Amino acid sequence: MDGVKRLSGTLGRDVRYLVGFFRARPLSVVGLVLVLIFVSLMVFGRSLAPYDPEKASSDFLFPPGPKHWMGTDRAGLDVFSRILVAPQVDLTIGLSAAALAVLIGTPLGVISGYMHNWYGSTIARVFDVLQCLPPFVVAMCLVAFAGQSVSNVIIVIALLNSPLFVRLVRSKVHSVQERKFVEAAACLGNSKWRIMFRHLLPNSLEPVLIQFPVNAGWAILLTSGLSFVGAGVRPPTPEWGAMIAVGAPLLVTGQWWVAMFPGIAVGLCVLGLALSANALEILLDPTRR
Amino acid sequence: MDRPARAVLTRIALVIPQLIGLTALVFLLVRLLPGDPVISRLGGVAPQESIDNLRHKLGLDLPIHVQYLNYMKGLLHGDLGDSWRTAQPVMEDIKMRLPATLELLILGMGIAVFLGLLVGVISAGKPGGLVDRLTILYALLAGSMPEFYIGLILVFVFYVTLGVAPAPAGRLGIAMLPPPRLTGMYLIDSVMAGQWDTFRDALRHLALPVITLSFWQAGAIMKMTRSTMLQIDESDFINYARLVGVKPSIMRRYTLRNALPPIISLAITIFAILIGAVVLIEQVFSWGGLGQYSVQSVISADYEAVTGFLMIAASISLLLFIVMDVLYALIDPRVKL
Repeated sequence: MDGVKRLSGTLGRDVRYLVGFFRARPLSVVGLVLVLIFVSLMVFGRSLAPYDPEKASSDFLFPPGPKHWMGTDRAGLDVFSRILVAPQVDLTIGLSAAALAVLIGTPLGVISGYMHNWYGSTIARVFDVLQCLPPFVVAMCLVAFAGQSVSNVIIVIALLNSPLFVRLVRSKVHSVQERKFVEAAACLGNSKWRIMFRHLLPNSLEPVLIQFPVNAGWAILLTSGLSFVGAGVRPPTPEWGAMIAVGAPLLVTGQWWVAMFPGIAVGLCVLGLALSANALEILLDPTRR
Repeated sequence: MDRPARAVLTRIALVIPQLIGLTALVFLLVRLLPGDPVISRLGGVAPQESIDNLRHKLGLDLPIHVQYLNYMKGLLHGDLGDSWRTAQPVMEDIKMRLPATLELLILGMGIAVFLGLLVGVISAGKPGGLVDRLTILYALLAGSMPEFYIGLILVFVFYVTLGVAPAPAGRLGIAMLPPPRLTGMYLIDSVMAGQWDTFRDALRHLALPVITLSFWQAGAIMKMTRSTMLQIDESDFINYARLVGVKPSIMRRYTLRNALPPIISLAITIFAILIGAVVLIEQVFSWGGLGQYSVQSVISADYEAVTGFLMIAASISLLLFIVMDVLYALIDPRVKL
C-alpha cells in the first residue's frame, strides 16, 4: 500500500477508495469479472474453443464428459465450444444495440427536455406511443421481414430501446437545466443549441451510463428470444438463444445439456452486466461514497 | 371541476390522438416492411394476371392513405381483415385465442404482484436480514435469465425429472374436452359448468407457465416494494408516528399505502412486459393462445394477422399506460398530470 500512498495526490486516494469499495461489495467484483470474461470471449473465444463450433462431427448427443466438457448436440457440435464463441454474436449485438440506442435517444432526449415548444413535447409523445408496441413481436416482424442478419437485429433492437433513453435523458435534463451554470450560460449569450450540447448533454449522461449495461443485457435477452423462435441470427452461427432452441425438444428426451448450459451462459452474462450497472450507480453518485 | 376529474379528463383527451397515431404507426410498419405479400403467397412463377388480381383483391393497389382509411373503417366495425393462413377473419382468430393468453397473464400478474408485495414488505421490515439478502439475490438472478429458459428449466425439473407436471403440450390433456365456452378461460368455464375434472386438469396445465411468468418478474416488484418502503420509513410522518408510539402494524399499513404509487406504475409496466414475454412462454408450452398465433403469423408472413395482433396488443398497452398515469395522479396529490 506504500507505493499507492506515494502516488500523486488524488490518484492515490482514488485507488485506495476503489480498493475499499470493491472489498465491501463482493457482488460488484463478481459483476465486473463476469463482464471481463465475456468481453474477452467476444474477442478471443474462437481461439480458445477446443472444437470448431460450426463443424458437425459424428459424436452426436454425447453427455458431458472428458472428450466434450458440455456434451454435444444432435449434429455432433460441441456445446462448450459454441458457448465460448457465442459472445461474438450475442455480446456484439447487445453492446452495439445499446450503444446505438444511446446515440439515438440521448440527443433527442436533450432536445425534448430543453425545448419547451411543440417539437419538444411531440418527440416525447411520439416515443410514448412507440413504447406501447410489444417489443418482442415488433422485433420479430422487422427482423423476419427485413432479413435475418446481425446488423438488422442490432438496428431493430436499438430502435426499440431508444425511447427509454429519450425518457431518461429528458427527465435528467429537466433537473439539470435549473442549475445556475445553465442560467449563466444563457445570460452570457450562448445559443440554445450550444447550451444543449455543450452544457446540458455532458451533465445528463450519468443515468445513461448506468442504464447502458442494463440495456445491453436486455438486448442480449431479446436476441436470444428472437433466435429461440427462429427470427434471429441464422444457424449454424453459434448464439445462445438458438442453442437453447435446438436443445428445447431434446430436454423432454433427457438430453438436458444442450439447452441448459447456454441458458446459464446468458444468465451469467446478463447478471454480470446488471451487477456492473449497480456498481456504476454507486460509484457515480457522490452522495453515496 | 375538482382535481381528480380534471386529471382524468385531460389524460383521456389525449387518448384519441395517441390511438390514431398508434394505429397509423402499426399500419405503416407492416405495410412498409420489405417483401411483397402477394408474391410470397403466390410463389415466384405465378402469372402476372393472378398477381394483379390478388393485389387488387387485397386492396394493395390503392394508395397507402386510402388503404389506411379503409382499414380504420373496418376496425371501427370490428373487421380486421381475413387471415391468409387460417382463412378466417382475423377478429375471429383473435377472439378464439385471447382468453387463453389472458388467463396466463392475469394469473401470472396476480401471483407476481402478490408475492412481490408480500416478500417486499417482509424484506423492508428487516433490511439486511436473511429474507432481504435472499430476495435481492433472487431478483437479480431471475431477471437475468430469459423467460423461456426459466420455463424450460421448470419443464425439465417438474415434468421430465420428477414427473409431477403434465407435458408442456397445451391447456388440457389429450383426453380432456374443453368446457362449454362462456369466457374462453378454462378455469372459469369449467367451474361454471361444474366440471371439476376439467378444472383440475386445466389448473395442472396452467401451473408451470404461470409460475414461469410470475417468478420471472416477481423479483422486480419485490425490489421496488422494498426500496420504496425503506425510503418512506425515513420520512417525517413515519418518524413522527414512531415517536408518538403508533403500533408497528398500523405504521406498516400507512407505509405501504404511501409506497403504492411507484409500485403500481412498476406493476403496470411489468404487465406490458409480460404481454411481450407471454409470446415466448406460449411457444415453450404450446399454449395455442395469441402469443403462438403472432409467432406463426410472422413466420408465414400473414400481414393481416400480424397487423391485427399488433393493433390489439399496442392498444392494450396504450390503455394500460393511460390507466397508470391517471391512477398515479389520483393517488398521489403531489403529482401534476
